[in-house]
Amino acid sequence: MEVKWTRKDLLSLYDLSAEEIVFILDTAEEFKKVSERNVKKVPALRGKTVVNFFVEPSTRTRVSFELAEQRLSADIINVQASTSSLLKGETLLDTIKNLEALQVDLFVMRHAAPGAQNFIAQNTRCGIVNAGDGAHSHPTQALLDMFTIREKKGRIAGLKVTIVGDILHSRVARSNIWGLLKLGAEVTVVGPATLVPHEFESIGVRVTHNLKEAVRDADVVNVLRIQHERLNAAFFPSDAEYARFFGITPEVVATMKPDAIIMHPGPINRDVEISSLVADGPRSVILEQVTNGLAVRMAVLFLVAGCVKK
Amino acid sequence: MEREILFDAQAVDDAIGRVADGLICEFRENGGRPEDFALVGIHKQGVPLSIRIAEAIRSKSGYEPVMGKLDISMYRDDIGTRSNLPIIRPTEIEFDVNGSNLVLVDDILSTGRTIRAALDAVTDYGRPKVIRLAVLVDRHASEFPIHSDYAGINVRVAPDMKLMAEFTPEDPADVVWQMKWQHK
Repeated sequence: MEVKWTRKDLLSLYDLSAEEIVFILDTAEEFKKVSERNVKKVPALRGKTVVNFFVEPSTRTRVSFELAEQRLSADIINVQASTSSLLKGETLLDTIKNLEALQVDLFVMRHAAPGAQNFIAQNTRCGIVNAGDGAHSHPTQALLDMFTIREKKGRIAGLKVTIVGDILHSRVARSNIWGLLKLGAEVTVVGPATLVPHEFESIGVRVTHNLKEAVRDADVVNVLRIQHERLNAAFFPSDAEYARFFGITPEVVATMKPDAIIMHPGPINRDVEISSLVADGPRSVILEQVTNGLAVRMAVLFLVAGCVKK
Repeated sequence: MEREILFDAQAVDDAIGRVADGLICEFRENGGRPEDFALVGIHKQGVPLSIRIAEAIRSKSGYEPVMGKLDISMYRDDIGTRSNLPIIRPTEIEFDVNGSNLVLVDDILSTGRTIRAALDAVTDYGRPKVIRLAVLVDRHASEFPIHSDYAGINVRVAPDMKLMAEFTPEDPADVVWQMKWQHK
């Protein structure tokens, strides 16, 4: 069956069908090849204008999107909250409407408030790609994680995926959980009880607080960053104690399946959630995730741009 | 309106043979280095057609052309104006395009827009010595200064008619048919 893509926005994997997710991953396969050629550019978005609108700091996601846009031949405007009229009291929607009046086509948007992009998407003819909204959703990160898993393991259905760390505050975890469950993976989340509440069982994942038990049978271990900027209370005593109980060290890796892969969305806190020996070791696919992120973002921009009406 | 068959399996097979004859002739004139010749089928129907043409070339001359596949979705000029987004199919160009004698293969030459996109796409892989265009059917309705070098069938049909080709083994039989455009 051929999938019909009709969305001008990519807001959350929660909204997508399994077929739509697979369609994005398949499309990304071809965009990955573009970056492997001598001429790393195609004219797919020639004449389209993309605004990278980051109301929350970002380096890697913004750079990845910007490079994806350049490789698609789009024109690019970068707006950062610290230099925008939001500081003068303009509302978010007014800022968007003013940019829309300049005949732009797409917004790649990051915002600290969950659902901000959903609100904007309903109030603009432009396409919206969610580059992270608070602790809610980060769909392109989950798509690049799934792309990497599929590339390494040949499939997603039936795999055991363990996500380690601060699930409570993680948009990466939520997006991965939604996507992986739709594609038929078994998901386990593990971390301190303060950061991995049992409420997550209601969305269909297994919750545990025992790291070795959680990774023993896993095909994929996705290690989350300790987000010090979101931890405004004492969720665990110290980085050192976290590392002792939940850090992915060579000793932990030794208990895993020999072909299990280790992922991390970056930026990594070396020797806190993951030890350097593991992050730089043979099981790690962290840098391949970065490469695949570019391909996935090219595919997403290509698909949504095709559905934006003039 | 039902589809109406314009050319049956025999006519299609003969047309493939004529394209193969024309290409063999050019191979020989060029000094007969068949490894320098590459047939690049444009998705979707240009790919099975290129395989059929290669088979005909092989059986008629023993030449073994290099094969490739090209998807032009990233090079189209109508993103945002189409009702359906294209499925991007695999581009496979494993040979060195630089200096090659490259034959683009497509089933039907209509407006020429696919070929314009294909020229942009294939030249991003390198700088061929020559590019030729081989099609099964040229309907002589090009909107660009783009014309076929080798056409198995030349035919003029009304502008509101859609022309489609199918090839074994992907499709049940070789056939070229027409039907009225259904505008959504």
